[in-house]
Amino acid sequence: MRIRRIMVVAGVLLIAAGADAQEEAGKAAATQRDVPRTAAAAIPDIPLVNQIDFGIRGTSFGSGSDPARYQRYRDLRDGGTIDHLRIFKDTDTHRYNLQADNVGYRDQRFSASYMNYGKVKASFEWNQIPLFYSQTTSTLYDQSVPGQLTLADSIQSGIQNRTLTLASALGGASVFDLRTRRDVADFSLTYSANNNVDVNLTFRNTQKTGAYPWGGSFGISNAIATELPVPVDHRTTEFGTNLEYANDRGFARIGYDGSLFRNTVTTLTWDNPSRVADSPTAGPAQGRMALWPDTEMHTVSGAGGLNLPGGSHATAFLSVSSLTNNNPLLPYTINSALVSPGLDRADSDVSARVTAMNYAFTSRPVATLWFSARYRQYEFDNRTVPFETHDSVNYDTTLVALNKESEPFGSTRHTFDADASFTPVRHVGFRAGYTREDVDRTLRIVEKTTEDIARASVDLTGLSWLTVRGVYEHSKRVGSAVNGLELLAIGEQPLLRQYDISDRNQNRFNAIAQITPLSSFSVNVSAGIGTQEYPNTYFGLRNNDNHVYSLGFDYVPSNNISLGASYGYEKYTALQASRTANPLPANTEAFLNDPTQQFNDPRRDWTDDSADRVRTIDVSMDLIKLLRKTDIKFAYDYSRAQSTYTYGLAANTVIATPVQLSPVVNELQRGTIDGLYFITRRLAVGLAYWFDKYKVDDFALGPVESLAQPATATPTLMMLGYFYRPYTANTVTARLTVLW
Amino acid sequence: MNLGGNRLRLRVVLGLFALAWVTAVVVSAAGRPAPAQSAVSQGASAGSAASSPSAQAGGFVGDDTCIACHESEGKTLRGTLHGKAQNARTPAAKTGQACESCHGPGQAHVDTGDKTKIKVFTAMSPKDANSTCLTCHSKGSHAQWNGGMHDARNVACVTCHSVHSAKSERGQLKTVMAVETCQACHKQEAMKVKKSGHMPVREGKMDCTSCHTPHGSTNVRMLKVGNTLNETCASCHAEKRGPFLHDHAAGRENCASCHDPHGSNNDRMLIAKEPMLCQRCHVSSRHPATIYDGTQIAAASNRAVGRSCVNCHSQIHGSNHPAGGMFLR
Repeated sequence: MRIRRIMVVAGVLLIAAGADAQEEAGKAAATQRDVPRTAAAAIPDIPLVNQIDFGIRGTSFGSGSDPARYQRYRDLRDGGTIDHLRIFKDTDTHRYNLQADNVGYRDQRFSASYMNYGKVKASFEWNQIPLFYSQTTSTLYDQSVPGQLTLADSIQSGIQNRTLTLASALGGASVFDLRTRRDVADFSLTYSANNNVDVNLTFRNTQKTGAYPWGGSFGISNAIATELPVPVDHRTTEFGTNLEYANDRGFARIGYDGSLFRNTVTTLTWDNPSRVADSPTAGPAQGRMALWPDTEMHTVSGAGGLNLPGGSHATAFLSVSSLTNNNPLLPYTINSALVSPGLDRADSDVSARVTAMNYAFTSRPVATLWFSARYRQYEFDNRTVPFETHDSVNYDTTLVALNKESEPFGSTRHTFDADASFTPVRHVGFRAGYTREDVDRTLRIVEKTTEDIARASVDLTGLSWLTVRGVYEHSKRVGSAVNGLELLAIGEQPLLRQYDISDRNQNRFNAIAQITPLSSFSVNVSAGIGTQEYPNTYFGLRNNDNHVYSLGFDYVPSNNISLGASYGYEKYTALQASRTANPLPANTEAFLNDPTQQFNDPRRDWTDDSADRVRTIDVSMDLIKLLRKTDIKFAYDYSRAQSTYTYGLAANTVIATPVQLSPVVNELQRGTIDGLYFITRRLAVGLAYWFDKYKVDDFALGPVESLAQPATATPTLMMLGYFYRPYTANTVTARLTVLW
Repeated sequence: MNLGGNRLRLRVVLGLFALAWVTAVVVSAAGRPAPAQSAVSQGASAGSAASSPSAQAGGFVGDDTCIACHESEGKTLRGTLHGKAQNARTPAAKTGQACESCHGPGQAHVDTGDKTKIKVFTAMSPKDANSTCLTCHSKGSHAQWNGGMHDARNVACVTCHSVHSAKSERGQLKTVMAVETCQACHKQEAMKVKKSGHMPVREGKMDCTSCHTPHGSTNVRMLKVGNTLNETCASCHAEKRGPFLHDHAAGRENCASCHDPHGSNNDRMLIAKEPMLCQRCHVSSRHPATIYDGTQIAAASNRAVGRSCVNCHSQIHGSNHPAGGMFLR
């Protein structure tokens, strides 16, 4: 705490010093300005910068294609298009810019900006980002009331009384489009009060609407887990302002940022397909869960910097944030046949205080040497009073004695970086650096970790024919002692280590080279190798490696021709370990050394060796006016990813040999040809053809015949039909381009 | 590892670092010329041949002289924000010295025709070239350039930007799209974006600068918003910001513990497929420690197919329900 206070005081002093220095320098600058301001001459030879495209587009899909995945973040419906509107006006004093893309479609975007040079800079953007999940999803639920998904009583009673099967009921499911859309309105304004002072205002509102797949369950055994189209209707409003002062001696900034998250649908109730009436033993007629709560975040920040002698710079940043989540709590259960236990408190009453600071010092006392040191502290002080639960209700189904309290996780992260570089000649820089990160956590099994990171890099830049960059980093993270009994108390193996906080040794090497033997031809090659080992992990993630390589070239023989190609290969591997076993009686320590307990039997261990292999190919060629009045662009992208999961058992295993999973394959291809013929300087006609193909094979997300799974008399999963499906799409767009 | 040993090592490194810096400052102070007065000359840093006292002694020649030979550069400059004289902060605001505001006094270059007598940014060391740009670009994210990752790796402003022949609509980049600029070095991230699970970067709805600020930041990984990776993620995914009555510890620690924001081969950009991902931290008895193999898939276990673990644990990012400790409600 004392160190933190010292750092806060140091930061405030540095910021204040920066402001003071700038005030003095500002006065000096006002009297020393050596050149009066005048208007420049008119801009000559303005190219045709204004444009609009009118087009018509159509897509044909191959058999069995999924149009939704093809349009996942886009809206490529057939029809007329107005696209690529660009209106630009530039004078000696002002600049206006108006843009519109995909007008009238779900992914439309509009933007406008205005500049009064040296005085005002303003911009506004309206951007719609769709996310199209599926147009073949179907559900038995009535979605007419947001947040209340209901089934016909006849379905519930039929399934409960076994006069109706879920599979046959699903024959009457209604098909609907599953999609969300994010509408983002973004406004920013900068007012330059004088040569040194800027006032910045920002406002952004994000509205997200639609529905996405969600899960609801009524228990582990014999209950039907249900995929639901959960309604989405929430808004995030962010606003901020800051005052910034800068001159040649430094800068100072003070600001405020606010973020309000408001959810229209904070509760979801959904009918239980297998029960029409609440029961104290067989489950409820419906379930209820809390969706995203309304939250707020308010941040006050200050920053300052000083340019010091010896080519040195010092900067300080300090911010304090308040996060709150204070919403009425739902009762433990909606099941009227159970007596819902009393709540510890009526509202969530969750809050946290975040203090972040960042102090940096860099120095370049001579041209060949450069030093940098940075200290960063981030404290997430979770001030929530733990919520005590004596009795709870599982799945709205079962009353249980829990006697637990919530765990308001918090942490404080201290990071110190020091780097030094040596540039003996202009083009070559050698750097060595060290980072120390200490993290103190509350309520995690590892309460403190310390990570030491050493790194070295070499950068050869500035030569016209060769650029080489390489970096090697080694790090070692060590955590405080783990009390295995705490893990046992929650039913976990005492030798489990959670990879996000466990001991870890990490090596990382990255290198990239670009060779340009001719001004028109360059070759680039890159390699990245990373290894992570978790040395004290018996259960959990033991290692995690990656190998990434790429090779490419660019060839621009003339102003009319440019072409390039690249190939990339990635391999990610990981090994994790577990033990399939029944729990110890009451999770008690007394049985921990009992060899008769499955829990203690290493013959029940298993590992999962996973590997992702990805190959990426990109090819492109632009022919600009190679043919008279014609621009033609070709591009082809290919990405094939294959993931394998291979189970391994102990040599003397007593568990059944697993049936290995089939690989997960995702293969994306996209080829485009885009031609534009200029009838006149201001008018062109264009024709574009896109070929898109997606192949997928996923053991868990692939299509199944029945949405009631397994397809037996007692299904345990009612699906929506949001599957990973392939597509083959051929899209043609004809367009008229007008330029002025 | 011995924590006490770590502290000692930290102190040793700190001490060495401070000693080296002080030594270098003292050594350099001996031969340092008097501080320059103008912003531009102050920005010209040590070590640059073009900005050395001898190179600047010849004085200014004015734009007309420069444009007499460098006509196209003169024209393009006027079309850019650098060429707007009304803005007192631009090079063009200095009457007749728009070119030399950045390139330095040109008399010696004019007199001799020697290209080394004028600042040519692509031929300068990155830090020398950058110091000129930083003379004016000292606000916003530029204020954090010094000490940032790109500064440390000798990336020059002119590696990505071009004052005279920019191709992008914004930011005067050398490429049409920001993604193209970034992927020149960040090959791995560029490849990830092309995987089946990705953010709408390929579709043009985002680009690298939606999350990152290449000029430096107070956040990690040169992230634009907030002070941690989680705060950056929550700037768009505010619903997952919390804090919740019941937080998921891994999520509170780091969103990237489970997600790869650049793209992955898995649904929701998870770093591994469920249930295997969850089983990396949950090996407790009963279903978290089950082998979800081909038999389980054939049986359509509701813990393996579809959304797998989150078929039931749907509130995995955190729950505000009193019975939400297992993220089921």
